[in-house]
Amino acid sequence: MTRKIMVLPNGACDGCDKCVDACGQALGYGSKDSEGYRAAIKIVNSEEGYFPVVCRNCHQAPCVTACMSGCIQPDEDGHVITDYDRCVGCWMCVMSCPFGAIETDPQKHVTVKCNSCLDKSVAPCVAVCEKSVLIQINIDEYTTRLRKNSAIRFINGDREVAQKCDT
Amino acid sequence: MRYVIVGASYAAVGAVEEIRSIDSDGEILIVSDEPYRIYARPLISYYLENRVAEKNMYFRPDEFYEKNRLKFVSGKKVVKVDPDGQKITLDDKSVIDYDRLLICTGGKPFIPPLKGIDSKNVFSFVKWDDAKKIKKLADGAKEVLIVGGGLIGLKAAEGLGGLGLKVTIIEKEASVLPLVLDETAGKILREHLKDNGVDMVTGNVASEILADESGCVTGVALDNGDSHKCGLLIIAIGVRPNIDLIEGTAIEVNRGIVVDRRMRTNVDNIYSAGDVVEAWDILSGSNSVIAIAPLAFEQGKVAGCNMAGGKSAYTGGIAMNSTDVFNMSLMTMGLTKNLDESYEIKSYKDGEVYKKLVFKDDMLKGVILVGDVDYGGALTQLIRNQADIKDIKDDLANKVLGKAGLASILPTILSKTPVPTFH
Repeated sequence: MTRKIMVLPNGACDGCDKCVDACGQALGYGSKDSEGYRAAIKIVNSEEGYFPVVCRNCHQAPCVTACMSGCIQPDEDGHVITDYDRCVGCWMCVMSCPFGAIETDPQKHVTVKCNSCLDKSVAPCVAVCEKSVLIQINIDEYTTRLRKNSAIRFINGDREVAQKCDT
Repeated sequence: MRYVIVGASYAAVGAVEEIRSIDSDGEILIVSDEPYRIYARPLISYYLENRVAEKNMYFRPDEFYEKNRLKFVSGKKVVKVDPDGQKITLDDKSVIDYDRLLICTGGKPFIPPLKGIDSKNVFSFVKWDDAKKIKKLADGAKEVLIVGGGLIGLKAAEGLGGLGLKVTIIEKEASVLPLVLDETAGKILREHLKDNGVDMVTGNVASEILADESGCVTGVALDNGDSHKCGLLIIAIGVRPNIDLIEGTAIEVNRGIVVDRRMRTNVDNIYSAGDVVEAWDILSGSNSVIAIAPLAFEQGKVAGCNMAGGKSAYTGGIAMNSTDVFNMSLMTMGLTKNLDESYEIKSYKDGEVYKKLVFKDDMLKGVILVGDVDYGGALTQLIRNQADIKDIKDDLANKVLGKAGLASILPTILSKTPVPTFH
């Protein structure tokens, strides 16, 4: 098995936030209005479209380097996994994640980061996506798609877009 | 090839993991002067307060040692480094040869030469053993004094306060973390400490440690003539690079061991990393000692890679820290205080929430976040890359300091910085 990552194609999401709700529920934070509500995925409405703030399972992840207790480690496939039993809430990873993908839960003294829901056949956030645009995909398959799409765009004459996507 | 690593903390682990990713055959030997396998040093305050169990103190599981075939010598101090003979001498007189040596001995607490400093029940707070000794005494002692309001003193205060002891911090400056917190943040934190039972005595320094006839500490006298009582005293006025072992060698030392971007010292086959070094500091544009765990780990990785024949360069660090004190989260990155007029400062305060951004030359130079630190890493990324943010500066300040929040501008921030390798 290879590493899986969360992907939300640009322009495809309409910001319904169902994925965020599902994630919060799965993590035991209840519904969005609950006090101290947290979720490991956040959808940000930016000028370029809805943007997912979620763990990217970085190779050489800055949070792994920064983690003071040693509770964030890559698994054998490269998923970056937080062992919440060992998290003390020092926020070093929050300070180090360039994607802003780790939140704090000051009440419980732990961070909230997507652990990829590897124990489930389909991640709850993905399962509830009404437009089926939020996907969790193997990196190999994802890069294959990128290469293929780039070639298609090039063949179709949209060289500028193809080059932009390639670099 | 024999790699010898002196010191057993973050830099050592970073080095081991990197060495093994390149060289699966070489022998790796770690020498530690403490009687434990590698543990998470900053967790000692959590251990003290019973928030972290003994088994969770270890930074890596036991498998780490087997998987990486580590030889681990514990409880032995390196007393001499002989670069010409490529060997080190331990305090039991045994000699170990090396092909590559990594010195990552960290910091040692600075102990002021005050009268009475050798009294019983006076401790530093940097080792697990310090925490264990303090924990044993904590039941009997009712009042604790902590000299020094830096991060170590602050976490000690939290730990001991959490155990129900009456804690007072003695600090020369007006509040805790005086090196990084400005007046506003300092005040918030001081109030917060007070609300949680920790008092501060500020503006004066300790001049004498008071003790009874049996030599046990009874208090601290200050330079203004006041004195304060205690049954337990913690000295936390800073750490210095731990460089005793290289005395007499040609290894260049300034404030810390001087290294290049590949974490090499000026002596062949000797590398150094972590709190003991003076390494590249992005914001000052020169080398400086930035003693924090994440940078120690990064430097250790760079050193390990180069020791094993790979090529890696340290991209440099910035002063930064994050913590949580009595449920108040706190983060500082880059330049945050003592700023001249060439810096542009924007800030926001509402109750216990305080945020401050420091700009100069269209770049973000510093950040203070108190009470709301979420997504702070994106700002760290802007500082570490010294990204040109001319066209987003106002938007950034408005959003980070306004209702929209940092999250709302994450995509824009990401467009200004190189994306880390993640695919």
